[in-house]
Amino acid sequence: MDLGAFDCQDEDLNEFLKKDAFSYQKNGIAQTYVCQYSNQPVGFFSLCSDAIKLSDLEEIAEFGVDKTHQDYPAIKIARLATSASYKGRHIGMFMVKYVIGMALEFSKKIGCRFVTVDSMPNSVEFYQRLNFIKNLKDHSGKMESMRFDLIEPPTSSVASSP
Amino acid sequence: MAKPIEPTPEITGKDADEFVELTKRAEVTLDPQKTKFLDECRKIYAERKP
Repeated sequence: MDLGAFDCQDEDLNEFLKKDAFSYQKNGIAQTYVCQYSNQPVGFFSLCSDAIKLSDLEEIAEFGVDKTHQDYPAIKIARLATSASYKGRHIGMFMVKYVIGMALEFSKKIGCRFVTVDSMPNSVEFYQRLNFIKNLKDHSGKMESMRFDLIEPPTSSVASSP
Repeated sequence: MAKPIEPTPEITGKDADEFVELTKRAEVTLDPQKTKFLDECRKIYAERKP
C-alpha cells in the first residue's frame, strides 16, 4: 500500500502518516492504524494511552459519589484523518467505532474507562454524534477535550412478579 | 479496610444548575440505546481486528 498517496488536506496529518508515524510506533508513543479500500489508504488513526481527571461535579453527576478516583484510565485517539477523496462516506465514524470496539476488548484485560480525544473545534459535533461528551477539567489549548464512556448502561429490565 | 463512601454534599447555587446540566449529560451514558451502539462497535472491531 502506498501511503504517499494519502491526502486529507491537512499537511500536518499527511506528514505525520508519511514521516512520523513509524518512529512514534517504534518509540512506543503511539500506534497508527491505516484503513484501506482497494489497497488504497483512505483513513488512519493513532492511539496512545491516556488518563483524565473529572471535576467534582462531574463525578457526582456520573458516579453518584464524590472523589472516587484521581485519574481515570483511557485510550486516546491522538490523530484521526480521512482521505479527502473519500470524505462523506462515514469512514471517520467507522474508524472511531473500531477504536471503541478495540477499547472495549482491551478493557477486559486492562482497566480502561474512556476513549478520549482532543478534538478540533470543527470536529466537536462529529464526536458528539458518536456519544462523546466534553471534559470539563481537561483543556488542551484550542482543542476540545472529549471522552466516550465505555461502561454499559444498566439493564432496564424489571423482573416481573408471577 | 475500604473507606466508606461519604454522603453526597449538598449542592447549591450555581453549582446546582451545573449539576443538573451534568446529570442530563450523563444520561447519554445511561441510554439503553448505547448497548446497541457498543455492540455495533464490538462487531466492527471483531470482524476486522488484525
